[in-house]
Amino acid sequence: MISYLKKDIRFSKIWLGIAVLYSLICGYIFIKDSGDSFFFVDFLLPLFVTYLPLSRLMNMEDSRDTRDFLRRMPQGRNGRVIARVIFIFSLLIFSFAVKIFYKYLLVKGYSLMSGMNLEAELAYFIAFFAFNLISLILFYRFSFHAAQNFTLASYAVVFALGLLNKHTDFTLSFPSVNVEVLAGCGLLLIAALIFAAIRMEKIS
Amino acid sequence: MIEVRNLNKSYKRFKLENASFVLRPGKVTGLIGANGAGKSTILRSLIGLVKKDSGEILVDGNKVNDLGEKLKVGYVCQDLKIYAGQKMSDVAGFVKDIYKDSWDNGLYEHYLKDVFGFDYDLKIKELSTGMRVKFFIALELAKKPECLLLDEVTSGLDPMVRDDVLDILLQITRDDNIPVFMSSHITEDLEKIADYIVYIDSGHILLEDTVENIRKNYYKIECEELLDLDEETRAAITGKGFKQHQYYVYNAGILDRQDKPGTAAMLSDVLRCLRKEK
Repeated sequence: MISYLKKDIRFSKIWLGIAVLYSLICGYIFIKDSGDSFFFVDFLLPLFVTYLPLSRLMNMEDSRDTRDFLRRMPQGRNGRVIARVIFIFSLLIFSFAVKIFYKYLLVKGYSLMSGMNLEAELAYFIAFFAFNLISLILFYRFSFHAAQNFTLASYAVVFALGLLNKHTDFTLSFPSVNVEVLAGCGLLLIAALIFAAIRMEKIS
Repeated sequence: MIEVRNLNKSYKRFKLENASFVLRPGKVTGLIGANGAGKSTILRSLIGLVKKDSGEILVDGNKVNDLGEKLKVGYVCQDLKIYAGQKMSDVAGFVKDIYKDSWDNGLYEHYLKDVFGFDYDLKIKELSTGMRVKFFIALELAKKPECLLLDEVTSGLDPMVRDDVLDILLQITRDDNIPVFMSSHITEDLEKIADYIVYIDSGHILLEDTVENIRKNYYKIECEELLDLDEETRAAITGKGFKQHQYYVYNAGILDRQDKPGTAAMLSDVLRCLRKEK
C-alpha cells in the first residue's frame, strides 16, 4: 500500500506543486479582497488541491495496458484503492488546513469572522471527500471519461445553485445538526463509498 | 512444469475451447495463430487478467487459478502504453518498490544499459515501439521471473531489433531454465527460437508438438520436381498436398515410401497446411 501511495505522489508531483502554488495564490487573493472571495477558499481551493492531482492520476491510468499492469502486481487491489483514498484524504486535510488558516486565522485580524463554524466546515469536508470518492468509483467501474462527466455535472449543479442564490429568493437551507451526528453520518457515507470503490475496482 | 488442461473461455463472438498444452522449463513454447485466434485470451487467462470459464492450470502438479499464485510471472505485450507520461526511471522506481524482495537493480541496469543500450531517461511516450518493448522486457527480467509470457512482443519491431530481442529471450530461457511462452503471428520468429509450437485457430488448438517433429512430418516439393516423380507419388502429392505458390506442401503420411521427395517444410507452410486440412 505504501508503494502505491509513493507512486501516486511521485507520478503527480507536478500537479501537487501546482495545487500548492494555487493554494498560495488563493490566499493572496483572499487577503487582497479582505476575505470576500469565499468562492476561492470554500470551493476552488479544496477542489483544485484534491481533484487536480487525482484527475491527473486517473487520466494516466485510464488504459487497458496500465490497468492490467497494476492488476498483475502482487499486492492486492484493496491496498491499491486504500492508498488512493489516503492520497485524497491527505490532500483534503492539506487544503482544509490552508483554508482554515486563511479564513479563520489570517482574516480574523480584519474582524470578518470570529470563531469557526465547525458544522459547515465538516459538511464541506464530507462533501468534497464524497465527490472525489464518487469520481474514483466511476473511474474504476467505467473510465476517466465517466468521472469527468460526473465532475462537469457537479460543477453545473453548483453553478446553478449559485445563480439561483444570487438572482432569486431561493436559498439553500439545511436542518441544523450537531457535529457528532454530522460526523457519524459522514463517516458512514465515506465508509460506504470506500467499500464501493474497492468493489468496483474488483469487478471492472 | 506448467500444464494447462481444457481451458475454456466464451465471449459473444469468440470461444476458446478445451485448450490444453504444456510449458517446460528451459524451453520456449511458441503460441501461433492468426489475429483473433485466441492467443491473447490464453495468455491473459494464465495470469488472471481474464477469468476462465473452466479448465485447469497446474504448476508442478499443483492446481492454481492463475500462474501468479505459485510463480513470479513476467509478462510483456505489444505496444505497451503504461504510464506514458512518466519517465522510465519513475516507472522503474515504482516496480522496484513493489517487487523489492525479488528486484535486482544490477540486472535491470545491465539489461537496460549494457544489453539494450539505453543511456538516457525518457518518458515512456517518447520511446519508439522497439525501445518500449526493450524497456518493459528489462523491467520484467529485473523481477527475476520464474516464467515469462510474451504477447506479440516482436510485432511492430524492425528485423534487426527483433533478432536482438529473440537472442536475449533465448539466452534467458536457457541460462535461467525458465519456461517462456511467446505468442506471435510471425512464424519466422518462432522458427528461430521456439522448441515447441502450439498452433491455435479460431479458439481451437490444432497442434502441439516440437518444431523438429512438426517439420519432420511435412515436406515441400517444387512443382518442377514433381515431373521427375512416378505417376502414383505425383498424384498423391497433388491430390492430398497443398499448393503454395510454386511448390506443394504435403504430410509425410500420405506416402508409403521411405524416402520422401522434397525438403523439410517451413513452419509457416506447415501451419497453412494444417489450417487448410481443418
